[in-house]
Amino acid sequence: MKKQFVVGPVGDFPPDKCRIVDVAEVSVGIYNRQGTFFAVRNLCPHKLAPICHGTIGGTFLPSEQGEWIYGLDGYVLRCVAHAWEFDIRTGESVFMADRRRLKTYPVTIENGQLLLTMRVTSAAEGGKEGDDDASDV
Amino acid sequence: MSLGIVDCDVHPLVTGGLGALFPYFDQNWRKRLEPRKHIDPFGPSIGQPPHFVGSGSNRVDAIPPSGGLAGSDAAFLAHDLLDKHGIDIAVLLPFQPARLDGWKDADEAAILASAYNSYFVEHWLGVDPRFRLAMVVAPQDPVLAAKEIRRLSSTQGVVGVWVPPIEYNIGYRYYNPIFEAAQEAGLPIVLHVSASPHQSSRPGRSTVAEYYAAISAIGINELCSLIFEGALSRFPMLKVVFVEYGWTWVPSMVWRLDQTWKSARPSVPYVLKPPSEYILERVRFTSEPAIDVPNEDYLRSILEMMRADRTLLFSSDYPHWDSDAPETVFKNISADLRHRIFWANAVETFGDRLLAGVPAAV
Repeated sequence: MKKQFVVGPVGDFPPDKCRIVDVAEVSVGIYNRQGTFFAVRNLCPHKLAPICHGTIGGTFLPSEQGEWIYGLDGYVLRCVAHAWEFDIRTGESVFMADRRRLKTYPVTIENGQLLLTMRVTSAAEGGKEGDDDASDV
Repeated sequence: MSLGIVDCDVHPLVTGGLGALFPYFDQNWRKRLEPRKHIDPFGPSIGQPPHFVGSGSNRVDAIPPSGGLAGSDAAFLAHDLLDKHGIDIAVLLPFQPARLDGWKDADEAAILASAYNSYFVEHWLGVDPRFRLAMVVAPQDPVLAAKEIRRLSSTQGVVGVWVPPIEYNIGYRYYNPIFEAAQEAGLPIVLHVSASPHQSSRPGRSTVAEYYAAISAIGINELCSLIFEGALSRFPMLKVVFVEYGWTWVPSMVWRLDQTWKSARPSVPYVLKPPSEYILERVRFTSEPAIDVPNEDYLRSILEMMRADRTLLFSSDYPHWDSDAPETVFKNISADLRHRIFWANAVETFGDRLLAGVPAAV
């Protein structure tokens, strides 16, 4: 079942920074992209590195040789290991370099608090995240 | 239907040194080359280690009864290779002009390569309708090489352009004029390990055995260069055939290239898709030497992993010491896959030019 978790006051998540928090025993990176919040699991689907310690920024878009077009600024999370890039909005590998997806969570704001929606197993309600999501590891 | 066979690697030679090319030179060039008319670019160079095969790189039984070098008699070769083994089409890769990659004078290298091309068009393509030619360009001056490609681009029987790399790996933009002309002509680039200094020479390498075994590594180098230096991106219609670099290594290298791309893509944004896709679409490998894979299951697995149904082309490498006769290789694979390797892949790679002049019955 899905459950909402309060992760803290909006002011605790400054723009263009990543904050790593534990939600229901799951490590999650919260990104504030100019007032819009994104949450991803701090676990790279490739080789399970703590991806949120990697850089958030943009990337060079597919182009002709000799052109350098920087784009997607603020949406590309590059893993600390192997440098795979994921779009924090969708969890998809940038330009579909790989099929595997980074787990993302919906984020909402209520009364100045950041709320994160996570699926949890009923047996361990409030505890470990469930594994019934196809986009998960 | 009998199995059609295209042999994508056959080596003809010209007996008689550079003098044999004199009909293709004007007075000025004859004057210039006269003192060197006995030189053969395929001859041994001083200080090179001896070949571990006593006869050198050619088989002694391929020496024509008329005398001369193995591979120098078109009619004998047609009988000894094509008739005997049921080969319908043979792509000729002349080694002498390819050896010009070590030649110092760029103008000479270009005009000699051009003369060799004219020689093989006249004396080989004209002799047997089963012959096709990979013309050779000297790499010293890519602009002259491009001019030579355009000179022969509509000559019937010319099906590819053999480029022996010099100094730079093959994907580097140095070769742009050559690739541009080849793409424009619809001629695949043919790479063949040439024993040229660029490909063979390594400090401390003193045996032919080491060179021979390490040829795969040379092919791997060139393949990585083609992808990451962006040659296949710059020239979206260009095809490249790797001749005699081996192929059992292809699966592992394709995986490694893809894995590298997943991490490195932003540093090479012109590589628009996984390298495996470029390779499946436009890079091919010839079969000789068909390494003795320890068992048939392994062999079938490798063929499946490398997408041999698209990427592998049969070659004999006649008249070289390690040549493969078609009836001795890939005996226990499906008829469909044999048809792809021995015929269809070559036809798709070289296009309609390959079939021009072949009886419809094939």
